[in-house]
Amino acid sequence: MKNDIKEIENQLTQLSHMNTSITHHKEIIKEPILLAKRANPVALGLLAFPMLFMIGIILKHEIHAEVPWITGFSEWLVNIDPHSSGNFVSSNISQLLLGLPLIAIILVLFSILRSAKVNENREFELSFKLNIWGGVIIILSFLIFLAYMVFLFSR
Amino acid sequence: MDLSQKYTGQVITDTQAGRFGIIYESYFSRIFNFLLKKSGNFSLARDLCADTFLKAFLSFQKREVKFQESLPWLYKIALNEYRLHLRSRKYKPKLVLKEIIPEQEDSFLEEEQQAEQEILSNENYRKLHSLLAQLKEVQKNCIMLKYVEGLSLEEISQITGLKVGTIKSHVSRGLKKMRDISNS
Repeated sequence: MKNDIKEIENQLTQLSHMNTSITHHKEIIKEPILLAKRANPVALGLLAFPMLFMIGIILKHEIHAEVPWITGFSEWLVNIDPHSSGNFVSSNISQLLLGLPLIAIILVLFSILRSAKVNENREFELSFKLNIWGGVIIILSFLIFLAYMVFLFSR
Repeated sequence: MDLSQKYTGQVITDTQAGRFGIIYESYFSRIFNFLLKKSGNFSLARDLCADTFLKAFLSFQKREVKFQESLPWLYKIALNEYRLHLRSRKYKPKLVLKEIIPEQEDSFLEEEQQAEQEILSNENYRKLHSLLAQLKEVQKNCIMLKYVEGLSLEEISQITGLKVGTIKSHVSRGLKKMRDISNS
């Protein structure tokens, strides 16, 4: 019985001598500047206020619908700016709010950008690794800008 | 371009990345072969190994590990990755970036076939792999680290966080179970 265990031990030890070469399978590792799992929630948080603001404006001025806590929020933001005189397009606060999507886009860009230094060739490689949330944030940011631009030029 | 190429040149040991590059160069193959023998699946071993080293690299940036202590540390991360794989039905490495250069595809296939010939289709390996598969994960780990990887009980203790006596007991019970299954 004991011999059986010895035999198994020998067979297992023989496995240690079996190795395969994997030089071509070494993965390419590029460092992200920011980790997407951290950057994406922050970017989404930054988008929340401008989105709410623009949705409120669209509901009020285009659809002529009153959803109290959304349109009320937009109205309140426009009215607390003494220079707006009720016009959201010229409101400093709305312009400030629209700066947030820009920061969100920059955060996402940092999280999808990968860098690698090639010492031998004195090169610095940059590449993009797309992720779904990053794409969603960029699209939402552009939609907010687009909506603002439409209002800006239509007035 | 892989990390080994990335950190060759003049900055080998002067930088943190250079020091990790040495660990990567020294142990990539060993960790890969360990994961290959453990999983019996080339693609899975490759993904797990890459994620192991990427996690190790991110952790190394926060806290450096001495070269002498790096092997047990890498085994620990690799085992953790394997555990994560067992938890999820379909392993999806979260950090791995893969770039397969078309001209290298042949070499990639060649290596996979080589691994198939050298290890995976080996009769001894297949028999032992099926026996090991029936053990508890902890027994399997202890046996593989002791016999296949040739690590000392102290090193296994560092990797698994178990006491030496407990490891001995797992090894002994595991071997007995393997014997019983092969005899039945």
